[in-house]
Amino acid sequence: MAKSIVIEAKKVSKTFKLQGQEIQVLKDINVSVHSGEYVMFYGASGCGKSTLLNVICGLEPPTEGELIVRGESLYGKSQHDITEYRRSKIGIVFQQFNLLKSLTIQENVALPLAAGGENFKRRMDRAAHLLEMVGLTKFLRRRPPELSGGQQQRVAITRALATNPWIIVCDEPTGNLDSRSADEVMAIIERLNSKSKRTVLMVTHNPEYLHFPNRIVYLKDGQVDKEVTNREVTAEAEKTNEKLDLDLRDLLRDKEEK
Amino acid sequence: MKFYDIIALSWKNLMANKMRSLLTITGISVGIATIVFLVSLGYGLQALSIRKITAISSLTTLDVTPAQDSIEITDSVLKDFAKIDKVEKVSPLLSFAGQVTDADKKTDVVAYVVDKDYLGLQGSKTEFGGLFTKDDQIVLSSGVAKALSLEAQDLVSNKITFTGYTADKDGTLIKNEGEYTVAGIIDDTSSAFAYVPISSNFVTASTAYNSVKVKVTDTNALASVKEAVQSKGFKASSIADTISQVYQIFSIIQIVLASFGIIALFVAAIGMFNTMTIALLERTRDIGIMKAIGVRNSTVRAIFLTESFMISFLGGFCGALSGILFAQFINWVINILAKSVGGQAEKLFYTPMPIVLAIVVFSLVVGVITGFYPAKRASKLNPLEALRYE
Repeated sequence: MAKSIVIEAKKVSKTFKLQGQEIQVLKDINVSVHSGEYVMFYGASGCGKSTLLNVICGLEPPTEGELIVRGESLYGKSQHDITEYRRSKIGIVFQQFNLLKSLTIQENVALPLAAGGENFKRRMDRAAHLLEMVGLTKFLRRRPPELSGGQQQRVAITRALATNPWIIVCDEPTGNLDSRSADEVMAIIERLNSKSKRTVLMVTHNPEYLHFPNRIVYLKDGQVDKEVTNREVTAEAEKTNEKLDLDLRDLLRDKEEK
Repeated sequence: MKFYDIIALSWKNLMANKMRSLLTITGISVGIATIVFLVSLGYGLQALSIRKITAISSLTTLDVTPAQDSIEITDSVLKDFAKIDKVEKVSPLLSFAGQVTDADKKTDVVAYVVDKDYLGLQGSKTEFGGLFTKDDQIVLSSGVAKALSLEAQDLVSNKITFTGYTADKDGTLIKNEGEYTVAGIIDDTSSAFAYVPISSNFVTASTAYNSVKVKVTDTNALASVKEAVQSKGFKASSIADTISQVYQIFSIIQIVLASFGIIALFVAAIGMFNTMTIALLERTRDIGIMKAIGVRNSTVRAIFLTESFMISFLGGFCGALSGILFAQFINWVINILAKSVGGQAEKLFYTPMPIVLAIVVFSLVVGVITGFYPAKRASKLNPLEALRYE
C-alpha cells in the first residue's frame, strides 16, 4: 500500500544573512512525512533541525525549494492562508512553552479557537475538556507562571490540540523540563500518535528518545545525514489518520474528541 | 477573531500592568480636564459678561439720542418712531434734578421720568419690592436709602415726598412736588436716583426728552430700524453691537485658553505614545506567540489599536468629568470667598455639552493616532524574531 505523503520538503535551502555574511543553515533538504507517522529530526545544536521545523510550521519561508503540504506549495499561498494553516492544521509545541502570561490556562488553550472566531462558551468548554484529559482541571483559572514547567508544557500541548489539527509539531518539548516531567510529556506525545493517530514531528538532540518515533531523520550541518526507520507506520494507523483528516474539515463543529 | 474577544484581550493587556495603564489614563485625563476647565472658564466669563450687559439693556432695544443740539425728542418725534416698521414700543426718558424727603430726612437725587415700559426694556431689576405699576409709585436706588440713613428694605412701601425741578422752554425752573409710595429699590449704592412715572405732572406736550428706548420686534429688525432712526437725525446704538464685540474678544480668549489645554493634551499624548511603544516591546514575545499559533496580523493590530482607544476613551471620559467637577469646585470656592467680602455669587464656569463631546472625540482621535504606529509595528513583527526576543 502506497503511503500518503502529507508534508514534503523539496530541495529546501535556507540562508541567513548575518552582518553581511551568508550562513547556509539548510542545504537541499528532501524529506517526506507520511500520514500517521511519528518522525524525529535528530542532530546536534546548530544542525538546522529547528529551522527545518520552522519551515514546516509556516514560520520561515525557505530561500530555495518548496514545502508541499498535501500537494500544495505552502509558501505559494497568501499570508492569510499560512496563518490559518498554523492556527488549524498544525499544533506547535515549543521548548519555552510560550504561553501568554496575561491569560488563564483555560484562555490560553482557547486562544487558537478564539482566533478562529469560535464563540466563548464552546471554546472554553473545549479547553476545559482538553485540560481535563491532561489532568489539569484544577488549574483552569490559574496563570502560567503559577504552574510548574511540566504542567505548562502540558498546557502548551493542549493548546496545540485545541483546533484538532492533524499534525503536532514539537521543538525540543522537554528541553526545559526535569526528567520526570520530560517523561510525562514524551508519554503524552507518544499517545497522541499511537492512540489519537496524530502525525507527530519532533526536533530533539536527546538520544534517549530515539526509540519513540517510526522514523528518525539525522541532520548534520544543514543536510540529511541518514534516515533510519524503526518500524513502518501500520496500515491501520494511516487509515484512521485519513479518516481523521476528513473530520477535520469541520474542525470547529467537532466538539467531541475520541 | 470576534470583536468582543479583541476587546477582552485588550482589556486583559491593560489590566496586566495596572499601574502603567492608570498613569497613562491619568495623563490623558489631566490634559482633557485642563481643556474642559479652561474652555468652561472662557464660556463662563463670556456668558457672565453678556448677562451683565443685557442686565443694562435688552437685546432688541435701541438707545436713541439726538445727534445734534438743534434736534429734540418731542412727543411728535416719539409718534414718528412708533410708526416705523417693526417697532414695538417707544419709551422716552427725561432726567432732571430732584429731592426725596422721608419724614424729616431729605436727599438730592437724579430723577428719571419714564413710562411703565422703560424699566422693563432696560432690564432693570429691583433688589427689594418691585417696579412701579401705578402712577403714584416710585422706584429708588439703594443709594437713596443710604443717603437717608435707612436700610433699603425698610424704605419699601414707605410714603415719601418727591420734589422735581424741571425747566420749561424759556429756562424757567418749575418746581413740582408729589406724594409717592416706594414700589421697589434697585441695587446701586453708589448713586442716588429715582424713577418717576411719566404720567405725573413733570412732562408737557413740548417737553424735550433726553433719550428714548425703541424696542423692535426681533433682533433681525434692529438694523433697519436703526437706519430709519438715524435718517431722522438721531443717534442710535444697540446692545447687540456691544455683544458682538464681546463675542469677538471672547473667541480670542477661548482660543488662547484652549491652546494651553491642547499643550497639556499634547504632553499626555506623548506619554501615551511612550506607553504604547513600551507595551509593544514588553509584549513582543506575546505577539510572537499569538502569531505563531495562528492569530492574524490584522487581529494583533486591532488589539493594540483597541488598547490605545480604551486608554484614550477612559482618559477622555474621566478627564471631561473631572474638568467639569473641578470647575464647579473652583466656582464654589470663589463664591464663598466673594460672599465673605460682600460680593455677589456668580456663575463663572459654563460647560456646553457639545463642546465636551467634541473634546472627548478629540482625545479619542489623538489616542488612535498615537496607537497607530505601535499597532502597525506589532502587526508587522516577524513571529520568529518576536519569539526570540527576551
